[in-house]
Amino acid sequence: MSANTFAISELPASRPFTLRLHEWVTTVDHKRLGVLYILFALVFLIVGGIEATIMRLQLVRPHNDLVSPEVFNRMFTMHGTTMIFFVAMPLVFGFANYLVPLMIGARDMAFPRLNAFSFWMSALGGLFLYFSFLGGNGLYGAGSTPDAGWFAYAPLTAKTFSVVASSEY
Amino acid sequence: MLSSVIGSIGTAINIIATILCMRCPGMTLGKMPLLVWLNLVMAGLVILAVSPLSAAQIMLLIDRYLGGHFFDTQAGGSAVIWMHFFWIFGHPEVYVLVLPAFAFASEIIPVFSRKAIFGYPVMVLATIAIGFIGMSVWAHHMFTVGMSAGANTFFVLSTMAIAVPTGIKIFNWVATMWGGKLRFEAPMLFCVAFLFQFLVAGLTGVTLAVAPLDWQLGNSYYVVAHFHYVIVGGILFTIFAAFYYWFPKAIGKRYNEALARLHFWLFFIGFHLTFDFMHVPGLLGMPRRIYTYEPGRGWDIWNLLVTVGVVFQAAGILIFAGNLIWSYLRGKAAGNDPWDAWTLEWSTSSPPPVYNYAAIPVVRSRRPLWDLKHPEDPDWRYE
Repeated sequence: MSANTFAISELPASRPFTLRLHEWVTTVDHKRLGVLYILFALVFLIVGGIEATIMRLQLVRPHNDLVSPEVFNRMFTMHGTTMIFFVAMPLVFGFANYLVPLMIGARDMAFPRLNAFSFWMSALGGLFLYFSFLGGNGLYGAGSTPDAGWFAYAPLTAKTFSVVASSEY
Repeated sequence: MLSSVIGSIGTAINIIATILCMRCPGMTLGKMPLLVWLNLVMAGLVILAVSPLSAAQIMLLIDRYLGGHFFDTQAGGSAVIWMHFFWIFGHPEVYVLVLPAFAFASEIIPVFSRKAIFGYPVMVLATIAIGFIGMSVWAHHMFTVGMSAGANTFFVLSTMAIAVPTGIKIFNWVATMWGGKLRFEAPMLFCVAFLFQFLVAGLTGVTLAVAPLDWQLGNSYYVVAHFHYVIVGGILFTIFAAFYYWFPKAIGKRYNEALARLHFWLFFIGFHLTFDFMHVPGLLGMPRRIYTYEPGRGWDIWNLLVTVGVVFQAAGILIFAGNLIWSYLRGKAAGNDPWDAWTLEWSTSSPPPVYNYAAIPVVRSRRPLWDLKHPEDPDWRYE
């Protein structure tokens, strides 16, 4: 493939890293946002995968004591939440973003700025969720990481049974 | 969480508006690629399903901070309301994820079978049927709550009914492959595994739809095995297929086929070790979400096998990540149309320029690139 088919070659090829980063952060191009969604999902796929691995190592034999019951509860809660909201959904939206305009012969999505806003809202949600590892005792004891399962069933998430700020994440 | 939910709804509105308003000249609804149809229905489901979740999240916040009692049974609220809200999101969410998986299969299987998709109108109708029925099955997650017999019957029947359009789709994919010139490269391998695994996942789903059996198996490892079969065996496998299929388009370089096949076989073996054998302790009564268990209940060997599978899956994922990075840096140039495919994205350069198409294309059939490559025998003569 010859270099002159790259449309971006209007810009100098070797731009400083900060400029390229700025382009990616402020982009409203459906293809770049699609790639951002997918990269975001792949990072969380690794995180969610590590959580699953910790659970399976704990259950590899009876009476194993790799992690405490509290940590185990947080692992399955975070694994479920991460995999659905921050892996599967961004992957779906990433591919839809990238492919739908190309396949229907359009130049971009209908609302490119809304598209960028949506991606950064999703990314913010992911960061909020993992922020919970830092608050209070984090993973241990009565920590702040969610522990009520990914369905967050009501009595378990009500104030009586969940005294710390875990469910808000 | 609310923040990501707002993002999802925004994207869904965007996808619907794009598909309805921005199609190129000649592309009527009936000439859109199936991927576009499936994403249209997916986006509709996102709006219908994610909104109740955000409502419930706001109600929970009111309960916790403003002294509300929506979910507080002692003050006249109802905890079951949360379950309804959650599952009216939760079950359509499965279809939100699985429709794009169907979309990838519907694009990849025809190209690697060298045949047009079998039964395009039926595929579209089945998709819409899944969208509608998918909104009316949520309480099958709640058979153990103790609903009335009438409600139970309704949700058993609606859940079983959704197997019909799904079955139609599986038959159509198999019919597409039937008599085709099959090319078993990595994207196709993942799609073929998906066909079989999704069939099995659907069958265990129908067993769980039987309310009395669900009373027995609810909250057991059998349920965990079932939905991981759907999400990993069904959805993740086609997502890997999509990664390999569109990687040359997005990056402009070929991935390493040998590594991709190694990834497939490792992940395939790991998946079956983990999730096939996860059904067994479930049937033997092992509940989900327990952090440890007593020896001597017949669960030990199965749990060991399940964990061994994780090792294979992790190795597969590492090879996948390595392959993507290596191919990004060192891959061979892909050219515009490495798979000899038929949809519009393969007509532009790889990677596509910022403006996608220098001139907006005009299409006359469902396979515009076929028409371009075979002017003597174009599709629009037959459609």
